Amino acid sequence: MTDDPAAGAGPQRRSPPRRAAIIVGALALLAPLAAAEVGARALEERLPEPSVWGTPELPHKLALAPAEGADVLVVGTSVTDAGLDPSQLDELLDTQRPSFNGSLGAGSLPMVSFTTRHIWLPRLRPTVVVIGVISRDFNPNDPRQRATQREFFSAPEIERLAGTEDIVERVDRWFTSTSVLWRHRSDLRSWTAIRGDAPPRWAPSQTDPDGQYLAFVDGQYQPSERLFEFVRSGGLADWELGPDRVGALESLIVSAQATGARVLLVDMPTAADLVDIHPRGAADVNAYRATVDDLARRLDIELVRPPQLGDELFADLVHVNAAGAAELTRLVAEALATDAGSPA
Amino acid sequence: MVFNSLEYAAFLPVVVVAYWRLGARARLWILLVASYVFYASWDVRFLSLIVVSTVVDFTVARRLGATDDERLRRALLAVSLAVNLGILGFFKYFGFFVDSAEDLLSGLGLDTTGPTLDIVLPVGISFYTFQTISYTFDVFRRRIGPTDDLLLFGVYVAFFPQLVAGPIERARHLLPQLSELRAPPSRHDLAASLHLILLGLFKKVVIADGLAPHVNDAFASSGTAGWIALLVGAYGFSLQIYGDFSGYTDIARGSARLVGIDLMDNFRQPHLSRNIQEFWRRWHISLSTWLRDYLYVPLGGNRGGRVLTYRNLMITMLLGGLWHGAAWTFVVWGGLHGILLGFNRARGRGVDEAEPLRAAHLPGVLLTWHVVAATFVIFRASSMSEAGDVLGGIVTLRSGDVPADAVAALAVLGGLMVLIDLAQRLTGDELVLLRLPTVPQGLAYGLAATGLVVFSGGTPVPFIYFQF
Repeated sequence: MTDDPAAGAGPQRRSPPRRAAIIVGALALLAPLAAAEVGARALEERLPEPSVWGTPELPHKLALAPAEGADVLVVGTSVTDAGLDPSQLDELLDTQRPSFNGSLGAGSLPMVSFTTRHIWLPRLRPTVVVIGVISRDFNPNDPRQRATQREFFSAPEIERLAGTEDIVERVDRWFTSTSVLWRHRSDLRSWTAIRGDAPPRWAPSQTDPDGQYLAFVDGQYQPSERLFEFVRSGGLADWELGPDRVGALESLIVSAQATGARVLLVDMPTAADLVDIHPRGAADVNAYRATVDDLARRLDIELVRPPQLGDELFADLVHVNAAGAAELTRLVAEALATDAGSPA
Repeated sequence: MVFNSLEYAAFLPVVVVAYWRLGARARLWILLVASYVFYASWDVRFLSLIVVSTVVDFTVARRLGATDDERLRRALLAVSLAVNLGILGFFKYFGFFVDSAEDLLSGLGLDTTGPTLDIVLPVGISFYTFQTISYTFDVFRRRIGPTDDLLLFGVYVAFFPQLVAGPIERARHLLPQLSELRAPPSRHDLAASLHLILLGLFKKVVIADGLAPHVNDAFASSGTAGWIALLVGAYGFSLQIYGDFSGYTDIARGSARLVGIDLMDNFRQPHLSRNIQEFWRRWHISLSTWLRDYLYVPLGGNRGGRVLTYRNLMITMLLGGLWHGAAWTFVVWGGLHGILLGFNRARGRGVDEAEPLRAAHLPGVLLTWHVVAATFVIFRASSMSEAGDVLGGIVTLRSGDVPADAVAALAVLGGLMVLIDLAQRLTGDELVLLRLPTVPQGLAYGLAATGLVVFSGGTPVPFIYFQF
């Protein structure tokens, strides 16, 4: 026997005061989160753009990309980013739509291939795709590039495009698109960012409106053992022809061909010293060239191998300066205008 | 699988629910399997080392319990120590001793190249090795009887909440709890467990990981950074390692409580200690009491006069330092604490831990904290020269930029850490938040959740003590 009239009448219900306490407690718990969200929204203007693309350059280029598309799309790593000037191509080729350089500085061939296939080809619908490569781009053992590539392919927007998101990443993307607090949480840890004094993730002045990377325009190549060591321990560390690099380039070419675009592969010139810095010297460079030749032959694309440029046209071992870019762009435009690319 | 990962957030509820749905024997099996899965998620190969330790100490202890022959008993203890310390020594100290011997010989003008092995340190090896040694030692000293249950002993060695970074449990405390058939946790137990887990996550993800980049920056530029940046790095690391390790312990204790197991305290607000002796009674308690019971006391403790007492203290602290890692920085750190403890003892500065903290204690607390922070610089540094750069830069007031972000992070996150410790110390209750009225309690949890949101994202940072 019991005096409780609710006893035996099914599952026990919480008493009203207890239920009220739970509701009040839950509201109190949500209050700081709501206040933080409001605060983050108030600060959003002054916070840097959130890093959802895995590389700061890409969102900047997405903003620059011509809405009407591009007749000539230039892609590659930093060597091509700095080495080919789309505006000059427009002048020389008299294109209808502006050309655009969609290369990725600090990028790898898999990153370049991915952005071209998933972003630039559908968005810009180019009639010509110019792909610039050097031997360094085929090395999978560059520790710095490996880290960059890992970060790139785990970025939310890249995983969304790749269709590799798991459930947690989808939830994360939903929060990112919904909550300013969530989207900017890493910046909200920084007092400098909260004050609005944080530098932008990508300085707009580094990129020309046509997409060309401008950091090397005023550079002048000065050989030094320190520079050689930097390249030896980075881009050319344990140099080898990475099958994933070759595969990435091949899928990029095939995808571009599938859109009906004409594809031009440019074996970009480098300072002559680069050959000696390879672990096996000329043998490495010859192996690289043989691979590029074979790829061009198998996929039936034009291969342009410009002549060796003088050191005065380089900013460092691999990047050309403004004069070098002008000369290289002229050579590529010549090949495009005259169909002079030599099928390997 | 680290505590601050989604994998663990999925793993723990599965284990807890399965545990309470089963009978006593099956619960032990669940804990053993879960513990081995938890450990294998790092490196399945090293699971064999845990199994070896388990089988050896189980067998040795049973033989110890079955004989009164003192010579045989000593031989059995020696077998256990040889196996456990042999494994620990090989994986943790082989490279250190070879390198040190090479340095010594080359200093004497002898050109020698010793064997070089790229040995990976199995996670948690220092913790479970000490735990299993303590069991055999206690059986040897007849303080406990050996268990006849290999499954029970297997769980004692590998219990997942405390397997990789402690607390280093004692058989007397843990084995009876594991063998008991317990009732499911009450609402209060559940709240206390979840509170400990949340508190631990807050200390780790918000405080420790929030300070980590600024500490890393300061130590990475130890030769050039200004004194303010270095001071922030030194203070920051002292708080970072405390937040990291005590956060781990809180999560471990909260997780264990969910399956009805009460793990020992490992920290009791050590940065509010009034002298160095009190600090060691409040910092990494399971290690300091282990060193006391299984090293300092067997060496003679303070029973052999003043000189022997200081000698024993010094040996204990040097080995305690070396326990942390195979590097001279840890040895020096331990040695310095040995000197400080000796100095404290010589001045007769004991401490009554039960005495409430008062404003008059502030100078002692501040002095102790600064001394501890200075020694932690050596602990954190990759070399003595880096430690010298950091401490030298501070002492000489080296000029340099003031890192505004680091100063702000130290002020906010350090302030939160002090606030948590003060609240616990002044109330004598680590669950003080649970006693608050509904609204303040909800606001406090909401602030903690906001902190976790702001500092979440990215790859989970491993706990510092996993490397030991």
